[in-house]
Amino acid sequence: MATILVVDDAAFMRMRMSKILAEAGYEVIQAENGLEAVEKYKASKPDAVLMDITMPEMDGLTALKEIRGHDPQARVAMVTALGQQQIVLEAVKSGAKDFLVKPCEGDRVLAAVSKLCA
Amino acid sequence: MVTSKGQRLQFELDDDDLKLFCEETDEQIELLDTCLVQLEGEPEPELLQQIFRAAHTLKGSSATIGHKKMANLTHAMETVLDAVRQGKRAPTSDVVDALLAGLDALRILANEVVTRVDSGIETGGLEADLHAVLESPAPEKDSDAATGKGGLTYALSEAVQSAAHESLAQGAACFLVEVQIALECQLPSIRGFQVLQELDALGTPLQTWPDREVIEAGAGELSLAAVLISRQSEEQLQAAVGVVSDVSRVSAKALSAEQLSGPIGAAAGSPEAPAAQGRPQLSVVDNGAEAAKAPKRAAAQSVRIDVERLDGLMNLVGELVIDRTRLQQIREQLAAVLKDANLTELTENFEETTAHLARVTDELQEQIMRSRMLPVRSVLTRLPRLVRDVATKCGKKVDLLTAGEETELDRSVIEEISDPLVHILRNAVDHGIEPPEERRALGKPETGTVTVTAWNQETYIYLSVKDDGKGIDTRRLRQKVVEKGLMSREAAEAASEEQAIQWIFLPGLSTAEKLTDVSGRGVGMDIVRTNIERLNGQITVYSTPGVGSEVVVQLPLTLATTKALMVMARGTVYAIPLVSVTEALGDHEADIHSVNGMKMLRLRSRLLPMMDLASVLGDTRPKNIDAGRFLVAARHGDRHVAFTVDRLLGEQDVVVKSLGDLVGGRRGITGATILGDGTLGLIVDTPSLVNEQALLVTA
Repeated sequence: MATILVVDDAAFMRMRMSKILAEAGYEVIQAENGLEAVEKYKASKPDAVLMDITMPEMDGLTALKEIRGHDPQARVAMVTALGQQQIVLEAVKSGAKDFLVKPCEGDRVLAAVSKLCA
Repeated sequence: MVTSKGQRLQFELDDDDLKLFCEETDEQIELLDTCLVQLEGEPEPELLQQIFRAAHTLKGSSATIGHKKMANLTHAMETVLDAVRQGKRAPTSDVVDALLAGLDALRILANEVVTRVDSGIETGGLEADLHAVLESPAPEKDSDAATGKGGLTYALSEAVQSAAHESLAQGAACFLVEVQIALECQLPSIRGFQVLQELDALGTPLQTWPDREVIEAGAGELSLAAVLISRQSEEQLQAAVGVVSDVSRVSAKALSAEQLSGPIGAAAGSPEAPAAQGRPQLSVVDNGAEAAKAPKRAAAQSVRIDVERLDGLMNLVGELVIDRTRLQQIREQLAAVLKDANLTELTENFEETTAHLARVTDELQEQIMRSRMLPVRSVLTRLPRLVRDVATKCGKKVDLLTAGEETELDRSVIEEISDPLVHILRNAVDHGIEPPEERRALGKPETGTVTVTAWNQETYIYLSVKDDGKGIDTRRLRQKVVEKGLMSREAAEAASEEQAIQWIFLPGLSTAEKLTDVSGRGVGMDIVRTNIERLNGQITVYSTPGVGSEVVVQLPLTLATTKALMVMARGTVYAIPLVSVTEALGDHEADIHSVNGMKMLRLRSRLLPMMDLASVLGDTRPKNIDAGRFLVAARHGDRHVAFTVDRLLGEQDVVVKSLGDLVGGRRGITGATILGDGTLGLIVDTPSLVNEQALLVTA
C-alpha cells in the first residue's frame, strides 16, 4: 500500500488524518512542520503528501517548493483553511497537485489521496 | 393598478441611505442604458451577466426600501434577462424594446424616491409587455447559427479565428471545452486554474472565458470555457480535465471550420450534454469575476461607508455563518431521515442549495472583513513625531525607518495596536539605543536606527520594532530577578540566554539604571504582553548584546472571528483559542505524574500543571464517565498548563460575541460563540487561567 506523509502542526489534525488514512490501509508517516516534512520526504520518499499551510519552523508553501525542488515528481496536496486562497493558488502554480479545504471530511481526504497516488 | 399621482410616498430609508440608494441606482441604470442596446444580436456571456446583475441589484434595493412598483418592474425585467441568459429566449429587437421601455420607467420610479411624490406612472402595461415577450417564441432566424438551439455563445476574436483555421489546416483539431465546477467546491477559482493548467498540458488554449488573466489571478467562476487546439480526442480531453477535483461536468466538442467563423454555441444544445440545462447558471453570484472587472469602473464604484454600518454588516454575517453551520447540520439529519423515503431529488436540491449558501456566506464574510480593513499607515504616521520627542528628551539621536505601511488590518485591531506599539517603540529608544557618545566609543554611528515593519502572513499581521542599540542586558536581568525575589540565584544563573531575555515581560521588573520619565519603570512590557495576548496575539523578543533587539508582535487580522480548538467538558462546549494551544492528546498517551499532590503532565521534558477545565471555570456539576479523557496543552508566554477535557471536537473558526454586562466578566471566559446547533460555546481566556495557575503553584 502506498505511503502518505501527513504534515500538520496541530496534533489533532494529524491524528485525524492519519486515522482516516490508516483505516483505509495506507502507511502513514507524520511531520509537524515544513522542515520536518522535507527531511522525512527525503528519507522515506512517500507516494503522496498532505501538507498543511500554516506551520511554525517552515510553512507549507515553502516546504512544497523544497520538496518539489528535491523531487520534481513529488505529489503534494495542500490542506488549507478558508481565507488562504492566494496561497493555495501560489501552491498550485508551484506544483501542488490538489488541495483540500479544512475541515476535511474523510471521504474527501481518501478521494484526494487515491487520485494523488494514481 | 391604481395610481394616485401627486400623493406623498413613504419609503423605508433615511437620508444617509437615500444617498447610497441614489448613487447605486444611478450607476445601475446607467449601466443598463449602455449595455441593453448592445444586447441585441449575439451578446457575449459576460455582457449578459453584467446586465442581469444590474437588474438584480435594482430589484433588491427597491424591494428593500419598500418601493413595490419599482421592485415589480425590475423583477419582470430580470425574468426576461434570465431567460435570455439561459438561452431560452434570444435577445431579439422586441425583447430589447420591452427592456428599454422598462428602463425608462425605472428612471422615473427611482426619482420618486428622491421627491417622495407619486409620479403617477403606470407600470402594469410594461410588465405585461415584458411577460408577453417571454411567452412568444423566438423567431427561427434569431436562433444561433452555429450549434442551433441557443445557449451561451462565445465570440472568437479574429486573431483566434485565424489561428484556429491555421491549426485545422495543419491537421490538429479545434475544440470547444466547457467545464462546470461543482457548487459545493469551496475554492472554485483555484479549480478553474487547475483546469487551465490541464488545458495547457493538453494543447493550446486559444481563448478562454473568463480571460486567462482572470483565471490566473484566481478570480474565475464556477464555469469555464476554452477554445483549444489539441491532437487529443474529445474523450481524452474530457477524461483529462475530469481528473481535476470538483469538476462536475466537462464537455469537449470538436469544431468545424464553418463553426469557427461565427460565434460558437454552448454544449447546452448539443446532444451529449447532460440534462443540466434547466439548472440556473449559478456562476452569476460568484463575485470573483466582479472583482476582476472592477478596475474598469473603479471610480464610480467606490462609496464611503459608515463604520457603524460595517460593524452591523459584520454582525449580520456572523449570524449568517452560524445559520450556515446549523443548516448544514440539518441537511445531514434530513439526508439521514429521508434516505429511505425515496426523496433523493429533494435532498439533492437541498444539499446543492446549502452548499451554495455556505460558499456564498464564506465569500461574503471574507469580503466584508476585507472592507473593514485599513492600511496600518494611520498608526505608523504617528511614530516619527513620537520617536523625535522621546529621543530629544533622553538626549539621543535616532532615525526612524518604517516599512509595510500598506499592510492592511481590521480597524478593530488598528485601534488596539497603537498603544502597545507606542510603548515598545519608546522602550527601544529609551532603553535600547545608546547615548551618542557611548555609540561613538563603540564605533557605531552616533545616530541610532529604529525600524518599524508591518507585514501580513496568512491570517496574521506582524509588527516588528527593531533597534541597533545595546540589546537586552541579561546579566543585569539575572541579578534583578534574584533581587526582586522572583527566582532563586541558582535558577537565574541556570536559565539560558533566550529564557533570560523573556524575563523583560515579568511584572515589576525593569533593568533601566535610572527611572526615566519616558518609559517609567517596570510597568511596561508585562502590560504590553497582557494587552496583546488579550487580543489573541503573541509577542516575542530577540536580542543580541551590542547589536540590538527586536520585538515582534503577531496579531490576528480581525478580532471578530478567531480560530479555536473546540472541546467538550461536562456537557459544555468550550472554544480554546488556537493561538494558545500547543498540543492536544488523549490521556492514554499522556505521561502523568504526581508532584506534591498536584497532577502534572510531562510533555517533552516539561512538567505542565493539569487543570480540569470545567472545574476551574466554576462548573460544579458532577463529572461524567468520560471526564478528562483528553488533555489540551496551552501556554501563555512561557507558562504552560494542560487542561483536561472530555472530548476534542476539532478546529473551527468561531465568531466572537461579547457576553455583555448581563453575565458580567465571568472569570476565565472572554466571550461566547453560537455553535452550529444553536447552543452556546464559551471562549476560554487562556492567559488568565494560566496566570491563576501560576499563582497557585507559587502559593
